[in-house]
Amino acid sequence: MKKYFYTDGTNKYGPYSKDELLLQKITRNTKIWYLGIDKWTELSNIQEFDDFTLSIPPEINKSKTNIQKIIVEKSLSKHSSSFDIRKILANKISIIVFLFILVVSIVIYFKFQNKSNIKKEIIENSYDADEDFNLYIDKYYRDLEYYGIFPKKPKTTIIKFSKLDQLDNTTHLHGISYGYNDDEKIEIYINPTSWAKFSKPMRYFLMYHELSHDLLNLEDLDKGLVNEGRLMYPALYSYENKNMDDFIESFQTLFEEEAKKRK
Amino acid sequence: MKTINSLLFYFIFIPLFSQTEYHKNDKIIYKSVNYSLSTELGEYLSIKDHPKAKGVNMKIQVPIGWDIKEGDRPNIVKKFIKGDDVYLIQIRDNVTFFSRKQSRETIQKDNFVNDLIQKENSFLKNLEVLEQSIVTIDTYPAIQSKVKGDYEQMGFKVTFIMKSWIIFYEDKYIILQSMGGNNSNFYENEQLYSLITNSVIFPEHYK
Repeated sequence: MKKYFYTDGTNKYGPYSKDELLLQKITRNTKIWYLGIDKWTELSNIQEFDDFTLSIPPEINKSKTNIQKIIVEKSLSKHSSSFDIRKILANKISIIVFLFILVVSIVIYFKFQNKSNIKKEIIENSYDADEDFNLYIDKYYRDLEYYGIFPKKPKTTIIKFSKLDQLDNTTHLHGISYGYNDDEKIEIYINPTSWAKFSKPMRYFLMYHELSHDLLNLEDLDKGLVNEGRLMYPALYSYENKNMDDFIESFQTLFEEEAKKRK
Repeated sequence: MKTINSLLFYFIFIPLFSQTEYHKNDKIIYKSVNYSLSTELGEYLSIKDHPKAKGVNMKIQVPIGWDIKEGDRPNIVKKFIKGDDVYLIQIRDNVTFFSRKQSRETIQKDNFVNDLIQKENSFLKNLEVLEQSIVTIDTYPAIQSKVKGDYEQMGFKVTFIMKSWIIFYEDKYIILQSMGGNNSNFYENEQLYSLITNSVIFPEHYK
């Protein structure tokens, strides 16, 4: 006896006898299979069910179902295509981010390498000056103490001349400090060309500026005009017309601020 | 006639009228002596790079006929000597830097000035302050004072009279001290001491 199976597109139901099958919720379009045919076939296409299919009125909501099906399929396909686009975009963004990080890393590496090379060059070209830089250190400590600031006195002090105006890839440097955030040493290199040209107030400005980097771990201020006249202003070349009174009031302002911070 | 008039102008009118004083509440707050011509002063002496000058670059005219000697004590840079009369240049460290504005404000305080004069002349007994005023020496504020007192050494007693100027220069006190003992010509030289002091120049200020 022949056994029939039908499917609703998702699940397979059966086996049923012919009579049993006809009692199931089947339509003309329901696909069935039985031993002897090689694929699921719509009921309407099987001759032996002609009587049955002709007796069933056509489905009223067939087109609606189809439309819904089409809409669902389209929607699914749309979702699927937008999902693909997202996936592609995500991939592209990942690549861009990766490339950006790579470029930034390379730039940082070369900058660090450059800085490291510059430091090496500065140290190699440094020499002891016939200038008494200790005078400035002693006065700096004295003035800090006057304002109640007692920084750790490093054991190592290196203050030398180095031809900073002969360095590649740098702007004109008057002095540079390498003891920043290192309480164990003072390490300052002064440009001898600048030193020779500088007036007494400018020398004091330069030395107190560099010592403030080294001993108070202070950073340069922004080059904006609002900071002009202050000790940590980095554009010292603009201080040509400053006198000792300007220097005195400038460092005193800084020391007062530092003393307040440290209270 | 024109030449005679010019000479009269230089030798009489300039010394007479170039001494300016500014008064506030009957108190001298600023005094400047601007003698532009003097036949009593010679060449300028620079104390720049002198081991006792503590980095101060100062020039001062030496009176003609006076000896220039090195100071024996630690802070005395130079001294000009003629007989029993002496003019000393002393430089001492201050506690920190002071701008001219700050120094001028400080020396407006009577207590500060009185204490300083007492302290500077503490080696004298029976100290008598004959005059004190605030003056300007080459743009720097200074205290000018004239005191009298007794000095005793090994039982030998001398009455000193001294005219001093304490200049507040950056992080230094520059003390210009003129003095004479019992047999000195202090009063005859007093005008000369003012001329010497008024010749002071701080060259760095003009760079």
